[in-house]
Amino acid sequence: MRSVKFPFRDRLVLTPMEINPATKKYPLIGLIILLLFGLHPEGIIFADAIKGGLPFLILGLLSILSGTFFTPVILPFIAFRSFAAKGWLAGMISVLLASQSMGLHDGTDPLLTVIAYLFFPALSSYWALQFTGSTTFTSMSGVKREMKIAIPVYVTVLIITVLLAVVFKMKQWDIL
Amino acid sequence: MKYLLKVSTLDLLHDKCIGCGTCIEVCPHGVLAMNNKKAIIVDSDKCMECGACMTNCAFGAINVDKGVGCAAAIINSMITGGEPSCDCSGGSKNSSCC
Repeated sequence: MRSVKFPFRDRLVLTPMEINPATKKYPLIGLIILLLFGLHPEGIIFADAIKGGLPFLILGLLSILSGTFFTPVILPFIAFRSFAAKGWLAGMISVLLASQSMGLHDGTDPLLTVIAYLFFPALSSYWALQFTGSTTFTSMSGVKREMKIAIPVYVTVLIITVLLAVVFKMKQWDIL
Repeated sequence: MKYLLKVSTLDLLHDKCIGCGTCIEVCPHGVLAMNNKKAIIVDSDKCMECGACMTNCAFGAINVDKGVGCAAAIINSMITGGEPSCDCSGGSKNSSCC
């Protein structure tokens, strides 16, 4: 009997399988972030888009990296069996560390902080869940079980994030 | 490494098993073992539902809902209504997986 293992080297070699499709979607995420910060009633102000959006662009990149690279590489050492939960945890730690180092908590609108802690760990979780396709031990029944919980959570997080972003812009434009 | 517990659909019909040991040979995770000249399931939580045991059992003693444990494949199947398939061989240009 040939026993199949899934060591560190195999996991590392397979990470580009998830990094590539994820990075292709990053420009869209980046564009939405820049629009969120740059859009004003008088038009798009690029200085605001860059200044306000930069920390969020970094968080977006970091959440993709934590889901597609960090989670697979240190897979056995992250708590939980669920890939979605592992990805969420890795994403949350990444966001927490990056937010602290970038000083995101200082003077940032609390709505934006909530968005950061809600959306980016969920994004990391989504990409970590995609890594199930590269492993040697995940089963279809298991992935279906995970998705039954994870997909409604992702949809809910996305809806709340959009609503919070709309409220943020309305506050910024003095509509609220 | 083990995945989620108590989700495997692996089922062994002892009455049909003749103890040839083929399932044990082909299982990549040592899910099955021989006991009193019959195959037994020793750890169903290690089963990745690849279906190798079921495919290779000439006596129909094993049932498993075989398929790929791949989130992208399952999302694709939800959208298209077909069976979950990664198509990792690159046969389809429409595949968003891998």
